[in-house]
Amino acid sequence: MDLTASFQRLGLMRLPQAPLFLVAAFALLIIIILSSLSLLEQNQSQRDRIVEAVETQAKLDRIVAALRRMESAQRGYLISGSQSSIALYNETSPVLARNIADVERALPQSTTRSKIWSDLQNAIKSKVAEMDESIRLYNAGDVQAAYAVVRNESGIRYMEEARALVDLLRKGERSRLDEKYAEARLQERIILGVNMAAVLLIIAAGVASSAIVRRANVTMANAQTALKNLNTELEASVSARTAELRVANEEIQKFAYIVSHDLRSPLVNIMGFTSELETLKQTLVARLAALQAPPVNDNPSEPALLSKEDQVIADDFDEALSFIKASIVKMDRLIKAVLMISREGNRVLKPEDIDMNALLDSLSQSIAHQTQKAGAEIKVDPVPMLTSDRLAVEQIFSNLLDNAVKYLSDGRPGLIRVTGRAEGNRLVFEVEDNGRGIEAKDQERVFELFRRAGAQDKPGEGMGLAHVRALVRRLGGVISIKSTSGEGSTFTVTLPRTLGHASKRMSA
Amino acid sequence: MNNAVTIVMVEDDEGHARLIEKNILRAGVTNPVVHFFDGSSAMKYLESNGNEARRMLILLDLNLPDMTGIDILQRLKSNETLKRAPVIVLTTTDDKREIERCYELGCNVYITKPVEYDQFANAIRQLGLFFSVIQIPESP
Repeated sequence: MDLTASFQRLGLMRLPQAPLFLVAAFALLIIIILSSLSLLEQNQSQRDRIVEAVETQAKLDRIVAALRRMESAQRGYLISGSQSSIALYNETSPVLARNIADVERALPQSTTRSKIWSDLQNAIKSKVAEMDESIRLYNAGDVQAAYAVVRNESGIRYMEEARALVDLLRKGERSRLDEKYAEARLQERIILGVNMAAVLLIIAAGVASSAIVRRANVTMANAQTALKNLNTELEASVSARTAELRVANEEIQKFAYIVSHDLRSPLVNIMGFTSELETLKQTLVARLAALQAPPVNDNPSEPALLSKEDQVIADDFDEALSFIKASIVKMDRLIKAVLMISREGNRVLKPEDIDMNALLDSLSQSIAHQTQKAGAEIKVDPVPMLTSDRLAVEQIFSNLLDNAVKYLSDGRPGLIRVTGRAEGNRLVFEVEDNGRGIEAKDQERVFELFRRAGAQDKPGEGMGLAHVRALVRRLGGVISIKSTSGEGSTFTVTLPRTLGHASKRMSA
Repeated sequence: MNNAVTIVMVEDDEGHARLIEKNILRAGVTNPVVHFFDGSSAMKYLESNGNEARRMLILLDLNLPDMTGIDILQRLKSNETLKRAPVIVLTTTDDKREIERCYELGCNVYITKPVEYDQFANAIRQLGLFFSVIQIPESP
């Protein structure tokens, strides 16, 4: 089942727009928060101004209060002439002035420039003038004149005027206050509205995010289920194949057993009785020789000689026997070789950490005698560590090195170089030689069982490379050859850095 | 070697049997050889001559027609009297597991065919020498 197809089916491809929406929502949220903050600040200053306005009203009241106090003090003084009253009057006068100044500062210019304000100032001035006048008269001793001033309604009139004007001002301030209140309340409503919008936006973003996350989770879960199913299917088919292979493997093992017993048995007879023939032939030859020419002296240990024709027959006999023996030996070796390869396929692999440098060095050492005799040299470059079955690796490289030393070129001293490098989680080893090389048409042949290539002047059954390839495959790797006839060959063995489980299970 | 020892050969292939006989004779071993071509007849003989175990040397091939040599080996070594008889396993297979199994069951020597007859004859002689020198207690 195609993995890409199933992923597409699950709609995993539709997700990209979601982040955009989320970004927009958050941007909007930030804008709202910022504007909300600025609105709050404005509101704050608005509220400050409201407080000011309230204070202004109080200040206005204080003008009237100061005026009234002065009036009471004046009346009190005029009635009783008490010092405390006049003192109070004198104290309060600057207070009045201060209060007026306060209010003047607090009121907007539109008000202080208006007629109301100037009228108020006049009224206050007149009242104060009236009071001052009455006191002056009293102080001068003209008590009746002083009383007359008081009894004169103008004082009261000025007072009333002042009070009325202050009232007006208060009302003016009041209405401004109310305006400001209304503005502030509107602002607050706006702020509330904006914040509500923000809250709604947050909720919407939250809902959207969680919906997106949930959808992603569902998609992920679906993908995982699909993967698990695929895995199970894969496992099942691998198990089935492994079982098939195991059965095939067991049949091969039985085959090998049959080879070792039933093929070997007649071979034993052939070998044995060939030896018997040899012995018999020697006896016959001796007896024939004895018949042809009785011993010169009675020394039985002296071998008698045959006539020339009979010697030829004896030699032919020997030749025939030697061919038979040679074939028997070869057959025995071939049977052993086939047995070995088939047994290799059944061996349980034991992965271990292998110091490849040490292994290659020791292999080179073990064939040092042959190497020296062939006038060759083996160089091993630093190679990485490998985790695999030691026996198999030893057999592979031992074989490759043997071949390299065996198939040199007569024209030049043999130079064999072994290198290794890591490529991801695979290790690539190269055994390079400057020997006789292998022609392109033979490069696949040499890996076949019992097949050889090139000049057949060195001993060998054509076994090694077939075995090597079987071993390399068993370890989960591949072997390839690059070669130019007459120049040399490079065998490249690629192995997984760590022996996996797959190859082990094959033989279980 | 003590001539009282009988060599019991259990081998189904005539050629192999003949070769063995010839060669041990050539090596100077002149003991009588009793030959069986299958497991059951061999077992019948051996079991009926159990008390002669001390004076028998068994040459056993593993690949017999009616039962495996391993079975015979097992029966021999679990028989109170017969287990004293030395057994030389002579067979074509060199399967490591097979060899181990034979030694586990108590065979004395395991030789793979084709046989190096000199060494083989030597082995027989040595075993015979062993017999003549070492006192084997009489069975009760």
